[in-house]
Amino acid sequence: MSELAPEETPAGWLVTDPGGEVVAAGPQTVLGASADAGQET
Amino acid sequence: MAALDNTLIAALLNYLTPTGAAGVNGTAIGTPLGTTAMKLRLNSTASSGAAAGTEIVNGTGYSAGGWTSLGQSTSAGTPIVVGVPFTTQSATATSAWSIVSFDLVGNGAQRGFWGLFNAQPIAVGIGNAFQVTGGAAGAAGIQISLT
Repeated sequence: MSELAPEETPAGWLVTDPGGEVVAAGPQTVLGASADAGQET
Repeated sequence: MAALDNTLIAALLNYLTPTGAAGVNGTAIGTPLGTTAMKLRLNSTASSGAAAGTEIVNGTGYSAGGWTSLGQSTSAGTPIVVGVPFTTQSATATSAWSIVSFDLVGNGAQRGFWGLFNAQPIAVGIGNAFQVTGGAAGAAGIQISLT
């Protein structure tokens, strides 16, 4: 049985140690100028 | 929460509405972000529509004002989404950083988009490097749209 491939979501940022190993990473930051437009009543 | 600087919001709305003389669309937009290469500024506190956060101190590969040489961004989709940066940006901390937000600014520090990094605050110890992923369109670390 084959395993599902992990999501190919690009990392938005990385922190690496002096050896180049990734010690922390976070997802992309998505910005929209009207992100809250739908909240208007 | 919009992610545009308040002054730029005013300029864009002026340009897109009949705010000029005799109902012509306005001309306030001009070149609000200048005409030379943009920068990506990193902050240790949160930016807002009104103001940038407090900029991090310099490190190796990061100088006051922000990363330069972001590369020429590309876009995809309808309506389009622009990816920033095109070229991966990296800097090494020479004093500990806590990175919270960023501002995409003109070369003269004119503010455009701002945002908080996902999972902020990001701790970067001395000797470690902080990197924002570069790439074409949807592969870049920051995705920007007007929707």
